[in-house]
Amino acid sequence: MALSVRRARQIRFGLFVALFLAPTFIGLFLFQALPTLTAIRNSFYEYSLLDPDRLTYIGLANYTRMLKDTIFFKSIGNTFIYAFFKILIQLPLALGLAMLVQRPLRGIGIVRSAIFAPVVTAVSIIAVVWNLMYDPEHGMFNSLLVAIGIGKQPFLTSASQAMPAIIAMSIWQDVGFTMVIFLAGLQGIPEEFYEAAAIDGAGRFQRFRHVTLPLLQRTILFALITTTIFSFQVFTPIYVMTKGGPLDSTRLAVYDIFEQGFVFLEMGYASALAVVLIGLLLIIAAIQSRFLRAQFEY
Amino acid sequence: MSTKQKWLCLSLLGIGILLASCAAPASAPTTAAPATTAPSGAATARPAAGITVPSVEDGYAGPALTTEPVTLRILRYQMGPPQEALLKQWMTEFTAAHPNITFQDEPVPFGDLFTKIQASVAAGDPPDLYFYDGPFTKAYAYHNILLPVDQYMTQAFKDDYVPATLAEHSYQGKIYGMPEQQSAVALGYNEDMVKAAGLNPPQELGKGWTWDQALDAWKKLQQDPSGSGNPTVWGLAPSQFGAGGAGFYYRDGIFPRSAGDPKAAKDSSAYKTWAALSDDGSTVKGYIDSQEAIDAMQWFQDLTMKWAVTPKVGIPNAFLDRKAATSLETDYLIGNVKTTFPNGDFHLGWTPVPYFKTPVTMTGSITYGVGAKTKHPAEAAAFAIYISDVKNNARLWEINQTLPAQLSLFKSIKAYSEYPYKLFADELVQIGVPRPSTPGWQEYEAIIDPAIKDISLGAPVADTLHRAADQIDAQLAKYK
Amino acid sequence: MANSASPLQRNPLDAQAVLVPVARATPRVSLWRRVRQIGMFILYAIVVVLFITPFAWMILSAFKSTAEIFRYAYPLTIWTFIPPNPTLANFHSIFFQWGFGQKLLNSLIASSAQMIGTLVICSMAAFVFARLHFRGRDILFAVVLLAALIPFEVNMVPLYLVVRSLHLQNTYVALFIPWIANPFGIFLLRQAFLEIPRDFDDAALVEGASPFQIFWHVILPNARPALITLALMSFLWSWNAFLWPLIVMQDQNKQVIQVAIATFTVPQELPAWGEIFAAASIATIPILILFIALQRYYIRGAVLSGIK
Repeated sequence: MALSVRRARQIRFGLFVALFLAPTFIGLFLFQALPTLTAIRNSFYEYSLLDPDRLTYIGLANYTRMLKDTIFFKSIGNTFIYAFFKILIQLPLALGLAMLVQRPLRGIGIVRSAIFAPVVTAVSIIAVVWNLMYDPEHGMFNSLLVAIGIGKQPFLTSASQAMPAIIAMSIWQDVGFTMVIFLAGLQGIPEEFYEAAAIDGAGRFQRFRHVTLPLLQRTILFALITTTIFSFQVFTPIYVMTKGGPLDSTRLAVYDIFEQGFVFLEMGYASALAVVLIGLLLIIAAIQSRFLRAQFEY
Repeated sequence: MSTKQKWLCLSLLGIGILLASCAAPASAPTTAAPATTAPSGAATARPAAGITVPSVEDGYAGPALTTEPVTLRILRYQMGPPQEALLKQWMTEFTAAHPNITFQDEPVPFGDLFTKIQASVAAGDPPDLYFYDGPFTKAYAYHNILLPVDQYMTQAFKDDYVPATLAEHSYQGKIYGMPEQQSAVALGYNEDMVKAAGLNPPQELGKGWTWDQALDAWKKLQQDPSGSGNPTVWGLAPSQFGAGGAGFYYRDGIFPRSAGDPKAAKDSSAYKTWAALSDDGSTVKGYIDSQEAIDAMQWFQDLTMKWAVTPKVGIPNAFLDRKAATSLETDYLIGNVKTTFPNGDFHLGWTPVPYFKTPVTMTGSITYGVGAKTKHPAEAAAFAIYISDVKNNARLWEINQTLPAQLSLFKSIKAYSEYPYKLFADELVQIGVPRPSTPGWQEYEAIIDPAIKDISLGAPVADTLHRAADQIDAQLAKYK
Repeated sequence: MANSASPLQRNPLDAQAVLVPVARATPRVSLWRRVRQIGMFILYAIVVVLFITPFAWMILSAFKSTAEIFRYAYPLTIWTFIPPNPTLANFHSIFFQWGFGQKLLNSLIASSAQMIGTLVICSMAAFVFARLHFRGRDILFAVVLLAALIPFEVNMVPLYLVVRSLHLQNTYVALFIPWIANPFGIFLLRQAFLEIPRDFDDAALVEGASPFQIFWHVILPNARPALITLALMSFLWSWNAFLWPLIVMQDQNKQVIQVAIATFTVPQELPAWGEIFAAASIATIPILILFIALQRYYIRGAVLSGIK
């Protein structure tokens, strides 16, 4: 008798889990897994979007072709550089800004909204505005630089400065988003901890190191992983502003994939490149969570 | 302010804006449009007085149209409000003549049209009619996306095609694209600035400047009062095509091609430079990176890097904002100036497109086509022929005043017998060449454009051109 | 437009009044403290200017005619920002000639639906992954995270094929349904749910609560900041979407605002910058309203804590 009660409870539990997970897995299967599996399948074929019926099996030819594709490797390298600097600067900046704007001061809402404003601005506008600001002759930045004595900079027209310029713009646009994540995490830290630390004589910096940081670990990990993933997937700013130039210095991986599939009409090859990119991203995400979870386990 | 108050304020602001904009007079720019267009796009079946509407059967020589209910799906780019209204008018007129035929309209931003076409084709639900960019005709025909339509046209209709249009819209002897409009590039200039500099540009084709003469003019027109290297007025405006700035083959490709010679022997470097693509469409090596092309692009690079008569990046509206004295533009600019300066405050002059050795301009424009997989080819073709009819293109001309693609319109539209329109008509007929004619046009453009941009910013000319040629050849290989 | 409320325009003496913290101040405000206050004020002002300038430029330019926007873009003068001849013509044009109002409504519908759908589905899944134990749970979670790695452009066309086979193309549903099972959302909420002390659950279990009741009465109320964040993020992702609506919607009356903004660049004509700026400005209003309305959840002390 006790057994059947347990059994009933197990079944109820199982049903509950199934019910709560079903929409997610149905959605993920239909809208993520199926398309991705199709893309993976396509990577073994020669496939043009304009000629979907002319599908030709070519085995690993796309992958061997990729091994000689220096432009793709360059785009992967650029993506790493982009992601590295973006994360390095954006995360601490977002945390700093979040701490700056979480105080209940009068008018602080304006500052918070100002930081968030770039996140809600359409990319086409941001492209226009930053193109103007980066103008090598008349742009706002150059006017400032000339005024303080440094000469005019070529910014987006130079292969060496274009990537930093894009990274700066990108950080400016996204930092509000990361800041919001940190804000949510920060205000989950109970005030009592800070008061206790203050009573113990901890200064501002020590409170940060011993109260804020540890209790923010999960949030930091989340922000790190999501920013990494987003950085590797960035596409629109490149498409709208530089199209990978000058001299492929701002060519990032997803842009290269898009161009192969939609411009050069080699969807099969693009799919192979995408598989490689996803694989790389998987490795990086796995390393990040393994490494950082070990640090953060408590 | 509490949250509720903030909500209230913002909603009031929004409502206020809407109400105020109702009350404000409509000063939205429209080009000289006939009285048919109502702002909301509601079309009436009656065109303005003085415009003759063709019968829906003019030009159509195919089988009788079905009487079954049919919906034709059109995949097209979004046009400005006056042209949108005209299209709706056309659809209304066609449905009035064939009540069983209705339309499903799918406009898309022009820059993304190709992506959307690809997605539709790949998903297996292509439309019945396409509005698309003429140079893609061969690509679409090759991939079996467009239907050959010559069988539906009368001979008179076919004969009226401007030869450049016929060449661009045909593939392997069959016609795929309708005659809608054409284009040509000339050098527009600000008459006030040019007079002030004491210049007198030629206005007839055949007497046009060379690029070196144009360069002299630009140097004279450039104004840099502070001497800081920040001119207040540039000699030549940056390209307004595409995203702005260098790197748009339609305009920038004129430089190298004008260094070639169509009359030279077919295997000579001079001929190849002009052609920019081998006759069989298989290679560009030796065509875009010939010595003449390299020299021409070096000169092009000097425009930004050495003589600095044109800026390195695009500046929106530079010419109309009087930040540049001249601009390489198509005839669309004439209408744009009228729209932006309805009081005639801007005095626009035109001189033929400059050249190194052979005057040349590239042609081709947007057009219509019938989808290959349509279930109603006759009906779709009939509509395409209807909207391309000479009389309907005349109505289109009233709105946008761009080069027609039909010979008879050059005679019937009086503007084309005199400057400035005559200049464009002459260029189209005498020196116009289509963009390189290959199914791989999209790949060609996607590779040459960044190469041109890199060159304008200082990349080594010969290396960049050689590399681009290799890349283009690699892409063209799949069309052999 | 005089009420732009830039901190730089306020009377600097007000700074001290603005920035006095909530805690009780000591009777004599020391000089060092005052210097720090002014320093903080300057810092805040710089931050605001840095972030809001392009945004402000966009909004103000919407009130200029197309020709004026770039005429005054450089050199930098007062007219770069302040419209010399303010006009509402751009707004009038986008609503009455381009049908922007309909697109705004479409985006509101799609984004709201995506926001609600994401909250519901992701919270359900996150609860299972955070609180319930069963064999294979962690593997399933890893599978969910895997989906986050795939860039949209890769999946774009096959996804469209799937949606078509479900006969959902050109429907409002198609705009949001592929995105409500959101791995980031599940990741975020799971992290948040894990933070909630187990004691709360245990207290409820002692009262005989079912898993659902724990979900509803214990977990959700205590994860409010994360839920709010996810609501905002999912609304924003939907609002900023461009490529997907471009492909999946055919009827222009059902199209969304980001695509609509792109349609103001018409071939053969000068880009309608005035309309573009006006539309982009209007497009920011709903999200900013949402953001401002949700602000109070980011102020310290607003979180509910304690055992229900």
